[in-house]
Amino acid sequence: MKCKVITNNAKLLEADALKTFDIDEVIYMDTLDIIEVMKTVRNYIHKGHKLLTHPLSGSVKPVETPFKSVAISVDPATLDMQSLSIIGDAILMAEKFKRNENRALTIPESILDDFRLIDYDLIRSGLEGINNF
Amino acid sequence: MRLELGEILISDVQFGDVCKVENGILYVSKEEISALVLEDEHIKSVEIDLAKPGEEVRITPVKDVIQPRVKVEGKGGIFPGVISEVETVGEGRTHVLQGAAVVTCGKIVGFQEGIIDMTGPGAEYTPFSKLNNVVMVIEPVEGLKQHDYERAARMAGLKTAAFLGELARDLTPDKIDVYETKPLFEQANEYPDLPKVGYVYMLQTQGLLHDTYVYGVDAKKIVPTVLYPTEIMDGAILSGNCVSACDKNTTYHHLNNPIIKSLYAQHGKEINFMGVIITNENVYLADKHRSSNWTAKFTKYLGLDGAIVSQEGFGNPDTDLIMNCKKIEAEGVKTVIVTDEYAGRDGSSQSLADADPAANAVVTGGNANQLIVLPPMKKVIGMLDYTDKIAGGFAGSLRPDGSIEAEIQVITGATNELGFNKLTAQTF
Repeated sequence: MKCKVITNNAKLLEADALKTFDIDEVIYMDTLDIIEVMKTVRNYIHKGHKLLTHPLSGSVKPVETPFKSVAISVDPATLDMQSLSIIGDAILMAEKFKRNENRALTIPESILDDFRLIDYDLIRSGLEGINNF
Repeated sequence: MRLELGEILISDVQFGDVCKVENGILYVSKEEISALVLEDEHIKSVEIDLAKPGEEVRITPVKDVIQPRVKVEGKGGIFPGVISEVETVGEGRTHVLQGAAVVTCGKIVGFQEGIIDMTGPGAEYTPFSKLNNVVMVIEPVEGLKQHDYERAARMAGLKTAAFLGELARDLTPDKIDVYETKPLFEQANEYPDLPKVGYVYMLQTQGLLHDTYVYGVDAKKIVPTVLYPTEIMDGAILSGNCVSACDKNTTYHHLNNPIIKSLYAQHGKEINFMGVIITNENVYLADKHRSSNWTAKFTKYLGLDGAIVSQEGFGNPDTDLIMNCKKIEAEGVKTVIVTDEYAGRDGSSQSLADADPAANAVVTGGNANQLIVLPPMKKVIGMLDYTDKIAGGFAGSLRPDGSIEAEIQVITGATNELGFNKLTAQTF
């Protein structure tokens, strides 16, 4: 199945990162704010796209990692309430973690790369499932 | 399936010229363990150290904790499909070095975590502070990719635990426990008047540092299936995950799953324990639908009256947990779910990322956002340089004096969702 991926993880833009997968479009956002990415996903869901991978993938908490990649369906249809409920709960959860993080998190580039790798591996495991058929 | 679990009680661990067990003391030869670990061309060096209860020692970043075991009677060997041949395990006799563990450490990614303090306030939050630990700090060869490093560290731990477990083969156990689950109809008929209860065992399966293996298979790629509980005691389920260490099941947790032990303790008394349904927690939502459909189908197919459902992790698995709970309840099977909470540092926020009225019986392993100050320790095994970047840590977490202020998320096993810890909550 084809899908769109919404992400702020530049690793997904690397030439061979997604070459084995059938991706309709990578919607890249140049931001380190994971909540912005989730809100963009929510906007697409309101337009009728369906959530395909879980927005709270991975055990590194939102905000602790600045990267998030989420797959959605290519063609808009009627509003999928379950998708809307999952992304809504994910945004609430991410905002809660942002409130908890009361000291600025300064992350060196080498560690940002590790966060990119983990996010890439999480979305890849989702894409493998999506691309089975 | 009937398994005798023979415990050899280990009261101390010491270095020696050869690995052996004598009078309850585990002697560890650095040379023997190093030679075993360095068989792997991906590993440049391994530093072997010991950490005992009460010592001023901090171990970090912990990747896995493994209990040494050996299969002495019955089919197959320990950790089937990985260390031993793919043979169905769970019957006969297995010997355990009770009180000892192998702990693997390595800086696979820059934000890794997992702290075990052997004394002080942090020690109260992890069961591994009570064990005699053989700790291995594993360094990769130059340029090794994270996936390969993770695999090498995981294998080094399992090989060492199997090697030390072998020392117990000919020893006489101090204690023998017997666990037995019969084939389905026989088991149902054994206690016809007792409620039939099963265990739905959710496994972390999302990607690098978030994976679990069943008989050597990456559990992302399984559909839910049924295991005899004793298969798990022989190492059918192995951990490949450690991120946000508070609620990840180490291999030690799987081998000693307290939900399984508690269900056996009530088997034939209050309940008829029918077996274990394993399932996964994939990222792809269609996988979640399929897996939760199947767990619900199995609970009905097995004729269960009730099911305990345990989660592993946070966020994405909350959705699997609630799907499992709703669908199992819809089959007319009562559920109790076991989870932990991310309720904010003051404990007042919503705990899970999903909820449903069907989830009306919940056991919690504690609030992972709770803050703790871990005082400095005289000795650190591993490295502390990433402490600001761990799940539950923040800029300034590592203070100049070596103390750490962080959420209990950083402590290995602190809010374990199998209940292998001391934290919970009660309503009055």
